[in-house]
Amino acid sequence: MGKYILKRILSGIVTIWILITACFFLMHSIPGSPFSKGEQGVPEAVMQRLNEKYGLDQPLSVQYVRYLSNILHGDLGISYKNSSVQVNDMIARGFPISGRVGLLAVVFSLAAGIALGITSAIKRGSLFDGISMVVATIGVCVPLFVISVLLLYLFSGILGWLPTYGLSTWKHYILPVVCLSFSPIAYIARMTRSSMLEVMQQDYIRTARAKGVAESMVILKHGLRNAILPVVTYLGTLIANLMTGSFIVERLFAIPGLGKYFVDSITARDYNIIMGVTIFLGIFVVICNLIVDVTYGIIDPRVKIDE
Amino acid sequence: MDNRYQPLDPAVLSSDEISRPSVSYWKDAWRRFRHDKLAMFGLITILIISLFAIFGPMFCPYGYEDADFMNIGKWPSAEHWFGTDALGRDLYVRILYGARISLSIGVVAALVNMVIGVLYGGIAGYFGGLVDNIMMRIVDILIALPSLLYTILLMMLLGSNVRSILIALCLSSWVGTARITRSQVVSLKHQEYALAAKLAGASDFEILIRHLLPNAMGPIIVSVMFLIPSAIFSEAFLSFLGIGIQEPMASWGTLANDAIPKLTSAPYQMFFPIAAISLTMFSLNFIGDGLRDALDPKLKK
Repeated sequence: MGKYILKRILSGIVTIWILITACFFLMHSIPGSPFSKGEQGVPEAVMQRLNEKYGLDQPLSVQYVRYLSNILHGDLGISYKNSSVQVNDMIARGFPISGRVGLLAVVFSLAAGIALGITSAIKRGSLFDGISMVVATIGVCVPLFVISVLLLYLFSGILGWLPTYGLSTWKHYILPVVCLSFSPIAYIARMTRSSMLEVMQQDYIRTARAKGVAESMVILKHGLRNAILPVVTYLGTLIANLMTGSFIVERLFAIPGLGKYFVDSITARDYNIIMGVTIFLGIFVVICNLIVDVTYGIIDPRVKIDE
Repeated sequence: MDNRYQPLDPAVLSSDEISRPSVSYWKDAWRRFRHDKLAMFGLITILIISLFAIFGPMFCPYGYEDADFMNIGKWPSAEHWFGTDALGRDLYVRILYGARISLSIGVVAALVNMVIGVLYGGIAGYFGGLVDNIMMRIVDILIALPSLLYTILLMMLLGSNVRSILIALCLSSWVGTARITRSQVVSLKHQEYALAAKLAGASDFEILIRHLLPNAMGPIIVSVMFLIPSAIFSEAFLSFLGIGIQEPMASWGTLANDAIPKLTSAPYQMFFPIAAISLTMFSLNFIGDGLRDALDPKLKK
């Protein structure tokens, strides 16, 4: 187990290093200096000062080493467009907001997805099963932005029940969280349903029933506990999905989170922020995946992870 | 007299002959696919959408960038079937052009990914050992991050147009196919026919291309089939964020993005693009599911 975790951590570090290197060289192979565009006619002397200030007159290798060591010290640099903005501050401001919405979405997806999946599996072939599987198919096929736009139009535009932008009250959280959770719920419900159907045919379920265990206990304790395992493996993908999903949802609902900053800096071509946020998101995903994999190894002793 | 050696009745002799031609794997798969109603619905829908995308603009009196300032923001009518946008451009023809972009991005990205993924996975799986180990470590590293991040980074470098979206998508999503191909080749390479081909003097490359890959094709095609909707989705995602296809070109994602500010006053501008993309995604996913059941009957639940 320890060896496995160590191996995973090492591979995670290599992933991050490759991401940083790729980011760095991609951004530096874009023609022109970050200051040549934007305001026209920056005087030559000012250009030189700016380049010196940001070390852009140094050879690429020097800049690369400097960037790496800055990151190791936890400094992701500053915005080239507005030098009073630090990437670190931006993340510190945006990530808690995105994180709160994301965490709510994780909790909601898991609760709703598992509940739907179990109910469909138990009432297999019923009307409820049919409807929830149709909804799940919609959730799997239809892109997030379509669902978000439709829900926004319906609940804010036509019915006027929910606010359209910002995050000031609890009501503001409902639409973004529901939109983000829609397709994860669909995946989790499908997964839970099929693994639940499989588990409920096992011998130990029959044994439990024969012993006279109450049906609800059979389902929750003997069935669900075993059926939940595939859902755990999905968690890593779920986090990555919510992250990219937040780009759309935060933009659509004007939530001042990390996803919105990221998209804004892409549109503004603010390369240092793009790099910084990408690296931050990369580290975040790698750590989440690591935690999920290790957890999976712990809760399912049948999985041999040492190979 | 000994009549133990009488000639056999000729009817008995021919009884173990195979009376019908054997059904090939692909014919068998097509037979299964044809009986899948949803998959056939998807296939027909995609064919219709493709026909409209290819031939539709020819029968349309408007071009995709013809602005008509007398007809700004018109609701759907006999003249403009899907209405017009904020510059008076006909939405119907713009959606048809969007279909061209989306479908060709989907198909080209899937094909390129198939070639890269199959070769990469095939080589890793066939040669095994250190080669396999190194190649698969690289895949593990690439797969650890969402491919949309790579796509966005590449788009930054290449600029926002159809060509760079294609390149970015082709470079970022072959890893899944590579993994599937590798696992197939690993399980097939010790089969007798591979050994027989080797004894007959075939080179490694020939064995891989002529013998192993054709036998691994079922699961590979299924995974490639699901790449088409995911490529279309990525393009729409990027365009919706405003970093994909740029004006005056139209893709479904761009059209939906343009319609956001007027969601309440002109909802039809949003409805048609998202209806088009949803219908396409449904159809492609149904085809994918149908193909999986047809080509890989073991997986059927």
